[in-house]
Amino acid sequence: MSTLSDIGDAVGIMSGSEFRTQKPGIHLADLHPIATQRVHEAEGPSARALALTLAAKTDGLTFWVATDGKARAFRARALRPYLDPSHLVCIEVANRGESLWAAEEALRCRGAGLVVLQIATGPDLFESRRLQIASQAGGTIGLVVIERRAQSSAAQTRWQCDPATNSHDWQWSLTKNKRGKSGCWSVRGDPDPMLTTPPDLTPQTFGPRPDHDHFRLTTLPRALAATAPARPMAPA
Amino acid sequence: MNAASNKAGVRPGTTLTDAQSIAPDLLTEPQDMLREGKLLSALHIWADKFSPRISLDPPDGLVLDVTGCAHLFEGEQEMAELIVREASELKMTARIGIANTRRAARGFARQSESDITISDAEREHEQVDVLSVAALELDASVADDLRKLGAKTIGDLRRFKSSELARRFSVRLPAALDELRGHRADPIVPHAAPPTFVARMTLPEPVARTEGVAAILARLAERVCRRLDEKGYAARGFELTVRCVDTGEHYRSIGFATPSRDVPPILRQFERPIETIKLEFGADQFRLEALNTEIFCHTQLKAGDAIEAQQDAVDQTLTTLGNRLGFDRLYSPRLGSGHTPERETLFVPVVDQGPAETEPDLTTYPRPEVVFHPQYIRIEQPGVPPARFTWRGKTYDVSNAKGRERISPVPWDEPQTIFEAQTRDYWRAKTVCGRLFWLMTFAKPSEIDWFICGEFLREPRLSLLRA
Repeated sequence: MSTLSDIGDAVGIMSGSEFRTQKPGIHLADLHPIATQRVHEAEGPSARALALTLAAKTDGLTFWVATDGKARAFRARALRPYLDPSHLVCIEVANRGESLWAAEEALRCRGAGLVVLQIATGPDLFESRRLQIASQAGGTIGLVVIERRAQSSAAQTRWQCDPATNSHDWQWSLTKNKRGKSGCWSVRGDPDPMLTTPPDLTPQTFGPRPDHDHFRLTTLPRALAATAPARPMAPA
Repeated sequence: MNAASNKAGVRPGTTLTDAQSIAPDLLTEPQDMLREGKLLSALHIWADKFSPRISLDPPDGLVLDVTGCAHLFEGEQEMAELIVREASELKMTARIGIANTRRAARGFARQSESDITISDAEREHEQVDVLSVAALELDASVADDLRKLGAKTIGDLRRFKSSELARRFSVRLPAALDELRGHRADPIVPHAAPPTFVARMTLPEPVARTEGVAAILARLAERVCRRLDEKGYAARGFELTVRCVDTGEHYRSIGFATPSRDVPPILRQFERPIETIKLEFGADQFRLEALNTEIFCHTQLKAGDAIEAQQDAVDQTLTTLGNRLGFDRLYSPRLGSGHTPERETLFVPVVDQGPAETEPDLTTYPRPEVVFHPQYIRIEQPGVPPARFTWRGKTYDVSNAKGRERISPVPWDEPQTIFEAQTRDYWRAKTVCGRLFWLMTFAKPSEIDWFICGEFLREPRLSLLRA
């Protein structure tokens, strides 16, 4: 007896999981799209904010792999504007080898949307290639949050995430990109605490600030974006 | 404790040093309550052949209701002798007491001099009188008071009226006496032994290769899963016992995120643990047991449902991660009930979590997304909060500070940490480099210690609707 998915395959209708693997990427306002089935890297103080913003946009579970007590360092109520805390699976590992193994297993899972690996030194070429293969097999996005030093790796994009000193929340710059140009964006994320669903990041031009809160994104003018951003301080 | 030790004078309650001085060649072992409990459960199943209604009398007894069973063994005396014989085949000393009531039988078994005591049905009233008051299973304080009164046996208690006893001690004492004498019903509540799912295999020749062990495991797993299927159960864990001829028994166990009774996942999860067993001279006895069994809930399969496939994939991944790292290392944050930072968030193991519950928001000040156990910061330039401090090797200059949130100790509960036991002040400190930290100090005026408790990932927005 053929199931509905068999009939669907014969006729050419794609099932849900196939839809997900063919998505071009997650679009966060007019940032460079974060490609699925790829592993990206982020370093800097606000890298975790990028991870949470990505988690808000993916469906499926979010896995967060970290050593020591860093996997426990979340506050459930503060996560609610981004994602449902029960969709976040925190994995506590003992050392770097275990964290890479756990990230690889989680990337292979077809039910996962985003896998965040919080690690002190970034993966090297061999390790990131393994993570890349796992992410392709599982159709998930990998984000490596690097605490200290990034090595030269096979990551699709690398972001430098700094806290912004002006009225914006964060300053995210694309320092490495396998395809496409670099850029620098000032991002302001503004979920209304009364909202229960994670909000969208919608682009908006410069203008007067409205009274109520919602997600807004302002980008720097092109001329300023072309210059490489000065690194304020070494990431913690 | 066995008959030989009793004859030598070593009884339950003797201290170890006394016992060793009385009987120098006494073998002693530390008490393992868990294994004794398991042994009692196994004996429960073994005793099923004597009577259908059995209940446990921990730590080392069984109570059997043999009404109507004795004639099947040709009499009570023969039945008691049969039990003693069979128990000695298991290398156990059994002491049997048969009486009209449960308490009397228990008393006879534990206190009588001979191994088998069968009371006379008509004259039991007199025979019960020689039992000591311990047969009433009272609290230690009540037993002490009775002893001070001079009542050592049940017969001594006949002097007192039951109303006096109830008033002086507790209402349970005359009730226990009535149960002992048979005036009050004390039925045996039989414990149904939980079904066990075990498969065993003993080989005539030992097997020395891992592939052989894997093949045997496949057969054992098939038998266990078939039995689980028949009874409608599924298991969350499996334990394999491998007895090597030279080194003895080795235990390997695996767990599952959701209850399962399929054979291929069991074999897959056991691949790695089996490889760690050293089989130099081989192993000849194998035993597979299903642990944490629960009744299997059938879920309706929907045709072509992508969500089902994803849930299976998630379960498999959680199983693999849990088996290697430990199922307690995978958790999800949940809203806790409480307003202190320690109680606000609970981390629940992913495999155990139920549906999400809503908790009211008791916080009035904004709190950070990242919260951790308080860590000392070194103050370079003092202030409230410090104008300059060093944390994890980096120095931060505080440009702006907002506060203060005062959190008092929780008066209705035990404090979980030493920080929770004191009143604390929390500050939001914005540093020059842009990071926003959550600093804490104790509310005492003489306090100079500052801690960092969290970091805000972005500037908190205060809603207009909240005061």
